[in-house]
Amino acid sequence: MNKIEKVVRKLINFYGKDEAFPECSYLYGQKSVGKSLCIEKFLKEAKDYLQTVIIYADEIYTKNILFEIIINKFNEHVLCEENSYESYAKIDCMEDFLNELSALSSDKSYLIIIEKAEKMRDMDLNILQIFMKLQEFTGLNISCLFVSHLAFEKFGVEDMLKIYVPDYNKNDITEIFMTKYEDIHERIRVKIEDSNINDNMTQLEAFESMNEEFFKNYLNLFLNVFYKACRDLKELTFLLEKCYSSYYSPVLSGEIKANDVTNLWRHVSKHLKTSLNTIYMRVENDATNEFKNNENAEDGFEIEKKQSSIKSFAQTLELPFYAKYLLIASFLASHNDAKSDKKLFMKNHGKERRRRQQTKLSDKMNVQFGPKSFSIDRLLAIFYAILDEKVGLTCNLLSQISTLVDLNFLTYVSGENNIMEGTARLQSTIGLDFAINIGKLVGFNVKQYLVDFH
Amino acid sequence: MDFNEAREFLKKRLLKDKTTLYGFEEEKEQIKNLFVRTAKHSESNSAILIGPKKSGKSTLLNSVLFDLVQDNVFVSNTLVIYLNGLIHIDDRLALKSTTVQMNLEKEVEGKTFSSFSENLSFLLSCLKAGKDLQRLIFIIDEIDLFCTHHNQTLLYNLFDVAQSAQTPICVLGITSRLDVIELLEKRVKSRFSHRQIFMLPDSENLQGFANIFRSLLLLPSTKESNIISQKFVNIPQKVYKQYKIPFLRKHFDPKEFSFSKKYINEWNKMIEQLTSKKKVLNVLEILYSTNASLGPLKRFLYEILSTDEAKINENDISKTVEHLYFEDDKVKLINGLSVLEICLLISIKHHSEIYDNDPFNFEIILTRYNKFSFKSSTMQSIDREVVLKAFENLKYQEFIAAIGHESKMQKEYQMHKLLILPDHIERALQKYHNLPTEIDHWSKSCII
Ligand SMILES: Nc1ncnc2c1ncn2[C@@H]1O[C@H](COP(=O)(O)OP(=O)(O)OP(=O)(O)O)[C@@H](O)[C@H]1O
Ligand SMILES: [Mg+2]
Repeated sequence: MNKIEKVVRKLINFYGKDEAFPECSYLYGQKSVGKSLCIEKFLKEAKDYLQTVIIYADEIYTKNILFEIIINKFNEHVLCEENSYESYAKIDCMEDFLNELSALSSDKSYLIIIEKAEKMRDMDLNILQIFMKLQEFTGLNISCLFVSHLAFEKFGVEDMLKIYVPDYNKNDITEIFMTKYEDIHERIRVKIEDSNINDNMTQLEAFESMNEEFFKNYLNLFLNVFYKACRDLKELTFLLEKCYSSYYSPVLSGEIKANDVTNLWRHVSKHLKTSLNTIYMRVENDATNEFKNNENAEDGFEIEKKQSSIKSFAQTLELPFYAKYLLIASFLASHNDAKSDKKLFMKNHGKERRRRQQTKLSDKMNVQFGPKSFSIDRLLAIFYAILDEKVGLTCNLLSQISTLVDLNFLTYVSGENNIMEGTARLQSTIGLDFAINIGKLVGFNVKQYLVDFH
Repeated sequence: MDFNEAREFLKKRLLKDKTTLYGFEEEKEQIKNLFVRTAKHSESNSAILIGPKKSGKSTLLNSVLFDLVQDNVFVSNTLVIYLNGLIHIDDRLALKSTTVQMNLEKEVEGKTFSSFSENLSFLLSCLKAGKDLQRLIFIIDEIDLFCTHHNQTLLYNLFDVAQSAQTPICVLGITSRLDVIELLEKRVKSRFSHRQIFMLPDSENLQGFANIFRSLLLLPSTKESNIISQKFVNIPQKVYKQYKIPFLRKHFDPKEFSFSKKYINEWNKMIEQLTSKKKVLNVLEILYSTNASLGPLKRFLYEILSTDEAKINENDISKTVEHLYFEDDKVKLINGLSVLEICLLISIKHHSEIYDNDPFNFEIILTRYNKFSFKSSTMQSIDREVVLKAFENLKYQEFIAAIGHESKMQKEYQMHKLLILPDHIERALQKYHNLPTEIDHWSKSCII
């Protein structure tokens, strides 16, 4: 019996046909570990004798909605045009809800499943507590199954029965992925057949040599790189398929034989490592461009996010020369103490020469504590100091500042409307790596001007 | 022999039998007396029943009412009203519910009252005008929550009526808060009778606990089943209409099952043997010393009865207790983290040890982590962004939490605190599947 089946068994033991249900229970385990899958499988077996409703607690924004969803479902009331999308009953308070529940037939058994149950902590306090005792209040054979990724104690309520959904170790994941082998290969075959390349036949021939062993080798390499950074099955599945084509494409093109594991490894390893850094980002970087058509619609959001960060870097490329300096100056202003400005930026400031020591990483550095705010005067002072050029463009610079604010590289901390009086305070939002890269674009060594690295 | 049916029976009894009370005879008698004095002699009273969570407060009350409703006289002259602080979150809702339970919705329709007490007096006067049901028993469950209501109006008025003895009324509060009296406002407190009835589980009677454990597993003889069933048959029908008490609704009837004498004997013999085993007694000792209330015991029994095994045996029982009492959710969940996330936890642990639990942010932890990862053979070439995701996952799991406001600050700089103990991390590391040895070493040698 595998882990999932065991959990399903346990659920059936608690929520079996003709059995007395526990008042409530708690199903928990790491994210993506198959909690919902267990529930789905369990419900398939229990559908004949069980009335169920699944609530996604993160979507519940008022308690009335929570109550009405449950009451509608248990009364098999579906919102539609005939009932003008009105609920089965109007429910204003907990007592109405309990009355409606009590009105249900006591010959049936009811289960309320609450996914993302941790969100119930944000609702009125009494809701969770009453949902833990529905039998006491209704006299029905009713129960509530709370599902969450958290340790139970995070709820701060009385103990209840618990079911743990164990995490997958490497072997489990290998096993799960091996079951995908045929599907994945079928898809590849179709793709080759559909392509208009004229050496279709040779490709198909090469494809035949990619057997289960071949896939398994790939899987091993893949997990060796990814497993340590990520155990999220959803994420791994996504990446597994995405990276596979760079593993097999040299086989299809005839460059490497399917059984030449060493060369295949050499070929794919760099690619895997690059992809490793796209975990949770779901974006095509240079090395993964070939997978364009593989895009997954539901991940649009993540892609968008990453694209926006790429975009923002592109935007900096287009910034005028002075704006780039301004950006760097703002970073320095946010990450140095004002009192060290003199030491850092004065050209001939006496005996203490800039020590070009090896960068020493102390445990607590300025850059680690986040940006501090600064005045426009100080920003401009630093700007002129690092620019090393006498230019009189203060007015122009002020408009550059607002551009940087619009682009979200700078934010106002206070005094947004008082730029001219000089009381406005700003803060840099870019990170060290980003600043260093901008520095490289204009030939400026950012680290040299950070207190932390002196 | 197939014991599935016995298991089903026992599980049902564990959950649906809400009226059989073990122990607390004295406390039960006291409460019953209060009710009887109101019902029979038209006396007024107030009292609060105080006991830990799941100690059987509701069960005690149910068993009192179950006894009383056997009596036709009680049923025809006393109305029981049930309020609960979890349901009636303000006095308006409580009063509305009271009106419904007194069946006076029609009478109050269209009327407006200038105050709570005026409204209540009106309800009571309606009561007096009627023929029967002149006596009231107010059960106020989770009464501590009513103390948070504005001016404690409801409590004040009910205690006031009880004290002035105009209407025969008994007010019984129920709570698990030992300090409930201190929550009462002065003027409310002065109207309360100060009768407190404590339900404290006996902590020096392991033998008694073991006996209950056994009784809960034994099948009743046919004769015993008949007696219980008969009690429900005796209840006058109007009770079901008149009282809004859920336990009456779908009560547990042992006669739904019928076991042969042989079956009962065999099962019970098995249970007698089982419950005298040393291993089982050890388990009971653990249960008893953690919580002597019967609620947790019943939950434990429910759990061991919920299996596919043909019989219950002592090994399963000890295994279950181990699951429940010696395994920690957090340790299990830490074991489900990736090696990278584990490395961050180790960094955080080191930071906490060196800086005496100072808060930390991502940058601080990253620096510490990098010190290790640069030298490491397993953890190289992981981007900052990926590490940040791992850090955020720790937060999602609530192993760490942000302190202060999260809004203005960039997430890399947001200060955090650790929500688990270093011990949890250590225990998880011991069990972690295939933890690279260098990480194991690093986790142990923090002081640099
Ligand atoms: N003395 C007892 N006799 C019989 N059953 C008991 C006893 N104590 C607790 N139980 C059982 O434990 C569970 C909880 O009991 P009950 O609901 O009466 O406790 P409670 O004190 O009212 O709990 P809460 O604090 O949640 O109000 C029930 O299943 C009940 O049957
Ligand atoms: Mg109770």
